[in-house]
Amino acid sequence: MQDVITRAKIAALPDHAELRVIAGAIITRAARELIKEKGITLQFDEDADPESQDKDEHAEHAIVTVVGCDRVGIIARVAEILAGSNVNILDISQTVLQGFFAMIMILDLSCSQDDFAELRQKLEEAGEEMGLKITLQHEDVFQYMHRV
Amino acid sequence: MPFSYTQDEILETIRMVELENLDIRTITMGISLRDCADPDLKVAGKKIYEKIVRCAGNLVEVGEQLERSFGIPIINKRVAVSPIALIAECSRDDHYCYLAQVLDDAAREIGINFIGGYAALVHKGFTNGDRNLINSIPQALSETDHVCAAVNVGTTRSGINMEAVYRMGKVIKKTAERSADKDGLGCAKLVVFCNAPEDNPFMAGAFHGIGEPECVINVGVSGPGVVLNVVKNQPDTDMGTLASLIKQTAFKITRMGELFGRTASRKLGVPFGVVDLSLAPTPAVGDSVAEILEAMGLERCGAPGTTAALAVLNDAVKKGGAMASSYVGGLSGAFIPVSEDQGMARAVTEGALNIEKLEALTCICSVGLDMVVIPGDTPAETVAAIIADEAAIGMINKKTTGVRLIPAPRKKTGERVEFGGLLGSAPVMDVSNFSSAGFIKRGGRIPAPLQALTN
Repeated sequence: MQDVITRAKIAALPDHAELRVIAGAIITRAARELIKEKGITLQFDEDADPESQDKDEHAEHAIVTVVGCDRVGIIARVAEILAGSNVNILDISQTVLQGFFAMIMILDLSCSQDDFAELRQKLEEAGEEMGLKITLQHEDVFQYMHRV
Repeated sequence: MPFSYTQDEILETIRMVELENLDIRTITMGISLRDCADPDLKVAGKKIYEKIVRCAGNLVEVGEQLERSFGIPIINKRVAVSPIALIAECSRDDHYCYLAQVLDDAAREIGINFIGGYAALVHKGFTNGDRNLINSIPQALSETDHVCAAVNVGTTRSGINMEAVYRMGKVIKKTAERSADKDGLGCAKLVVFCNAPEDNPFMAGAFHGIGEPECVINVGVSGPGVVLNVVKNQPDTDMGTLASLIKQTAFKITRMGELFGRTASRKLGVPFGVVDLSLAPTPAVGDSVAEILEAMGLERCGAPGTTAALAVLNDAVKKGGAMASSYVGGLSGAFIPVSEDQGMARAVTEGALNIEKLEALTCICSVGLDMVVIPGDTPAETVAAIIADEAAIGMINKKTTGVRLIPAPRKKTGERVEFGGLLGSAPVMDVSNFSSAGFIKRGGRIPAPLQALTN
């Protein structure tokens, strides 16, 4: 039977307490909110850290697209972020989409130091700074949509 | 070759997500509550709450993980449970609203926006539990925020239960009155069905059917904006070519549903049920089924030819979608809600679309009269008669039809009602003033139709 952590369980704990969580425990949405509010730290049993489980087993290939107005240093900036996370660029191409600059990069994430969500956030933030739309997507999306 | 995608394919996907509102409309977990029945309603409530939290506690979390890793938003994460009438029936207490409260609390705990299954299946007759549940619907919907109710009043195999139809007319009126301060919003959470599907992931009509497994993941896709763009770019092509292009697009949209459903099912350790192929509009500009019909060459949705245009669209979506997924189910077709689709609402405002034309459209689309606002002084018998008409269309055509009518209290034809959010806004539609009371008050059952001699 899985352990279920509900809001009521968290409410019974004092602020800033520590809570041991066993492998595969379910933490409800309301409980997560209260955990944040009360500053409670979760102590995961070994192998039970959900962050380590979340890393998608086959998140090896991904596709970055950059869409917006062309300017100096777009590729350099994106490449810098990727290199900083130890991500290899397999292919780059660029084109013009409805009057906008569009760049596509194919990445190998197998040695990445960041998980998918972290890398995605870094790229999106860089995109906002440069006034561009940068997206990082899993290869599966394209595989499913365009190949049977 | 690990990468066989062309630039065009990659940019097409990006365009769909960024510019055309491609999203997954809903991931709905179906949960059987059949093992939660208990003579003591409080005990049943405790079992129900624990089971929902145990099965769906991670649903929202997993949904958000999928959004992050695939970069496509999931608009709703929801839960559908076994029809509560079946679960509550063996209890000594008949105050079923308590269970609605339990469902509402469970929904709040796991962070979902709607929970469906406050339902009864009465197409052939009522059990005592069914009666109790139906009578409790107005109170249950007014005292909860997340609970949705559904009642099935007819099937092709058993006919239409006219007593249930009349009763639902009254229940809809009462539900509207109890939420009069919000223009009858309670009725947006109540659907009356004929041939209700057991695996529908869309609210308000979702419930976990009795032939379903312990727990299951169903996915509803979306994408009217994507189809709209395809149709807009082809102003002069003939119908065959157009249908073929819609088919290809529906295929791509549905593949996303398949990807999300399979991944969610793996991450949650729950079997994958079906992808529902429905084109579900939202009030966002460009995310409208009415606009697709208009892009096919109609000045306004509702003009002569609208039924034929919808037939082309609906069939092409099904053909493309059926190829894309291993399991297709639920409602699967185009939705034509009025308030949730700004193109529909505009057609009504401009006088292009009336309730009679909408009724004709429901003969070929996936749901019936959906989110239609009618004057608050419409008699319960007339509401029931509209339900009877829709149920008859479903029964004869062997398809699902539903009715989600909102008799907005104190509102007159032409006035506007704002529901906000995904429910949108719409003008109050005119309803015939001629009475149907004599017909509705007869009661009894409409016999099941012949399945042969089909002209």
